[in-house]
Order: sequence, then C-alpha cells, then structure tokens
Amino acid sequence: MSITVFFMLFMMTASSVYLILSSRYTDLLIGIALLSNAINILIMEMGQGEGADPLPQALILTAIVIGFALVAFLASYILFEVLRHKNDSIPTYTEEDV
Amino acid sequence: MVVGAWQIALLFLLPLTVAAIIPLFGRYAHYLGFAALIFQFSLALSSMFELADSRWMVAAGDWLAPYGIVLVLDSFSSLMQVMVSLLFLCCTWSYTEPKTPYYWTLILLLLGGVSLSLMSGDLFNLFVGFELMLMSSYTLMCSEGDVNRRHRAGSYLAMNVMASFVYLIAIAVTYGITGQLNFASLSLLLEGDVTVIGMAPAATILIVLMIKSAIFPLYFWLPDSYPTLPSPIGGLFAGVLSKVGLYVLFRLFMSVFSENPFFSQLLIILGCLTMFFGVMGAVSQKSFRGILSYHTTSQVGYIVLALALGSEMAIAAGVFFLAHNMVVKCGLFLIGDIAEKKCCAYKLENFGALWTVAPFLGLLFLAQALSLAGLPPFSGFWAKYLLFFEGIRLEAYLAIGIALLTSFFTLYSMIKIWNSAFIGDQIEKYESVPKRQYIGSIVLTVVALGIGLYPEPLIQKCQRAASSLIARGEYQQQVFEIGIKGSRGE
Repeated sequence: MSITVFFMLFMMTASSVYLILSSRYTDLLIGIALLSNAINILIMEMGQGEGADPLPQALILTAIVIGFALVAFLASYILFEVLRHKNDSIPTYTEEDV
Repeated sequence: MVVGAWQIALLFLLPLTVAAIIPLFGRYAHYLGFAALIFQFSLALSSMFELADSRWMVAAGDWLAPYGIVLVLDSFSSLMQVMVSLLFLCCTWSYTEPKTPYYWTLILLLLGGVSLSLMSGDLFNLFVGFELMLMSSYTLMCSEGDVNRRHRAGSYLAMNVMASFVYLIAIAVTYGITGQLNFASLSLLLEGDVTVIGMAPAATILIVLMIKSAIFPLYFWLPDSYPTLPSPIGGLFAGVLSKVGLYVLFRLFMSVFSENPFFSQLLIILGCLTMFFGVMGAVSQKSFRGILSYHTTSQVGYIVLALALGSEMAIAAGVFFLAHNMVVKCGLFLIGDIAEKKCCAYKLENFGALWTVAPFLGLLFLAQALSLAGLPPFSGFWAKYLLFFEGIRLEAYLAIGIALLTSFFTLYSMIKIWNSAFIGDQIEKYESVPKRQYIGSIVLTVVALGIGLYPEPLIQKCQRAASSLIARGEYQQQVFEIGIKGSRGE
C-alpha cells in the first residue's frame, strides 16, 4: 500500500467516523456512504501479488452492490423520519421510551 | 452426486425461490408461505436425522475448494436449521395481520439468508448470507414496526449497517494476511499463530459478532429497537437473528481461528458483563416486550460464557443453551403478544388479573418463565446445570457466581411480570383473542417441557455438535477432498 493511498484511506475513515458520531441524520448517511467507499479501497489494496489478483475485484463488486443497497435503504428511512419529525436531528430518549 | 447435495441446495434455494414467486399469489400467499415453511422444517428435520455424525459438503458449480464456494451441513448447523424453521413456523402462525403486502417475501428472504449463513463455508459467502438476512430484517422492522416509535429502529439500522462494514474490513484484513477466505484453509493457515498479526482477523470479526449478537458493550441497540416490533416478529428476531450471530461465533472461534488464551479471557469477561447488564436493564423496564428484549441480551451472556470456557463439554452446554433459549425466548414473546392483545396495553401497569380471565395463558407463561430462570423440570434447568457443572469443574467460580446472580434477577423480573400482568387488580375490559393465536406458544411450551423432562437426546445431539465443531483436522481434510475430487465425487 503506497503512502498516498494509506493517507487517503486514513482521511476518509476518520471523517466518516466523525460524521457517523454526529447527531444529525444527514451526517450519519453521508458518513456511512463515505465509509463504504473507504472499505472498498481497502479491500482492493489487500490483493495478493503484483496487482493482478482477481479475487478482491470480485469481492469489491459484491460489496459495492450490497453497500449501495444498504445506503439506499438507510436514505429512504432517514427521508421518512426527517419528514415525519420535520427535524434533522436524531431524537434522544424520553420517559415514554422505557 | 455427493450425498446430501440436494438437501443443502434446497435448504436455502427453496425459501429464496418461493420468496420470488409468492407476490403473484395475492391474498392466497399465506397458504404457499406456510407450505414452504412446513417443507423447510421437515427437510431440516429429515436431514438432521439422516446426517447423524457426518458432514455434508457441496462445492457450488464444481469450482474446487478453497477457490470455489463450499456449503457445509454438519450436526451443529442442522440442529440450528431445525430450530430456526420451527421458530419461523410458530411466529408466522401467530402473526395474523401483516401491514405490508410483501410480508411473506420478506419472511422467506429472511429464512433464506439465515439458512445460507448457517451453511456457508467461507467468510465472504457468510457476508452475503448475513446481508440477505439483515436487509429483510431492516425492511420488516420498518414496515411492520410501530410507526410512532419508528425512530427507535434507527439504532438497529445504524449499528447493523456499521457492523456490515466492519465485517468487510475484517474480510480485507483476513485476505491481506492469509490470502484465503475459506474456513478450512484459514484454520490451516492460522493454526498456532498467536502473534498480533495472526490475531487480527479474529479480533476484527469479534467486533462484528459482538454487534450482531448483542454482546456488552455493543448490545444497546437490541433492547432499544426490538420493542417497536409486534411481539411475534420480535420473538422471531430475538430467537433467530442474534442466535445466528452466536452460531457464527461458535463456528469461527472453535473451528477456524487458533485457540488463544487472550480471547478466552476476554470472552469470559464480556459474557459476565453482558448477562449482568442485560438483566439489570430488564429489571428497570416497564413493559412486557422491554423486559423480554433485555433478557435476550442477558441470555446471550451465558452462551458466550460457555464458548469462553472452551472445553468440549462446555461447548455442548453452550449449544444446548442456544437451542433451549431459542425456544423459550420466542415462546415468551408469543405469550406476551396474547397478553398484550387481551389487555390492549403496552406498559405493564395497564395489565392486570389475567390469571382470573385466562388461566391457561398463565400456565403457559409460568412454564416458560420458570424455564428461562432455570428451574426444574423445564429445559432451562438442564441448560444451566450443564453450564454450571462444567464451569465449576474448570474452576471459573467468579463467572459462575455472576451467572447464578443473573439467574436470581431473571426470576425476579419474571415475577415482576407475573405480579403486574397475571395477578393484581382487574382492568376494565378484556378483548378476546382467537384460539389459533395460542397454537404457536403451546407448541414451543411443549418443546421446552419435553426437553426438560427428557433431555437425553438433545444433550447427545449437542455433544455430537461440539465434537464436530472441535474436529478441525477432519473438517479441513473433508473440505480439501471436495477440492480435489469436485462435487461429482469421481
């Protein structure tokens, strides 16, 4: 793994973790989408030998499809929740929830 | 043809195929759905008996192991298949008013995903099985759950999506270190490797499985989101989804990753903390479903403890506990569903005097609750007896002490439900519940009582499962034989 790719992966993962930990739905969604891309690059970098390993590419193809479905589902969930509460912030606990 | 090839293929292809065609049947969909579930159950049962001690393996499309996809059915996974399809039958039978027209598609996709995860023989295929299962569970949770409390499903979604991505990281790490993803090759390559690099795959996967099976400190999403589901579906989730995570934990840590005292120590601590915090959460809850959801995490702690003890007898006790817990937990959710419908209530304070109105329901609840707490003559007694006996033999006194304390609090919170729901003051109006609703919980109670009164066959089955899990060399050899011969067995 070259130092450039390493640094890029680090930046992507760090910012996605920051976004996921925020208390807003939109940030969460963007964070998760970013993380899924960072992981695809990580799998690519893990290929064996001199860049001619076909298996990671097959894995990434599957991972992209599944990651896309997950992000699409989460996006629609978040859309409905934001429209229902007319508010982008993730709700906290109330006494009613116990 | 290899022995058992068509059973393995049908076990996950049948639910997926029926899921695809079932929307065409419109309002007759449930007939086809039940037919498929009954067929799945009888297939699982017959293959469990036919299989006995051996392993059935299929190399998909004749691509040779370790490069192709290998599906494996052994005594542990066939036992799980039987349990899972039994729970699916009972829960779908008890859930009469689905909100989405695609309910049966989702249920069958969930079953297909679970079945694939139970049989997959490599890490990536396991990921696909997990995703199939989780995707349909997300959809079920959002479409069948209570709309007014749907924001609480968010923690389930977010945590499990995160877990899926961490699982991908684990796959990348494993592939980077070993260049293999097949279980048999991994167990060969990682054997005896106790360096930090060799531990990295196990450590990353442990984090994923801690989220999926709700182990401390990553358990909070479960009691947060399960109460939003209608009780039969909640019972299905509690009985099947987190248990599949535990199954994979057993499979990977007993027959793939090398034995490592660090992980045993860590799992003992995590198991104890899970059961203690789970039961403390249950004590603090004020609703039927809330208490049961916290108990789901608490019981996971016992099973993790059994895994951590690590001897063959302890593994057998863990498998027994897993089977018992699936039945009892799901049964309690189904009983809770009837109680909630009778009182038209959610919080325990709005229940009352069900014993006078429905004594039979009270008896069912007593049987399952005492079984959960581990009193004889119910199944829970044997599960805890086997575990505690082995724990004392291995001198894990502190862990067994915490487990006993947890049992005490389990009994306390069950008495709390009993006091507020079944005795006490009568409420104004009781609804009547159709008789067919009882069938699921009666079946599960009879199974629990049957295990309690005659535990010998199940204990033997669990011992076989444990020895099949531990036999690494034999497993590797069989997989590589498939790799050499191809599945036609020439």
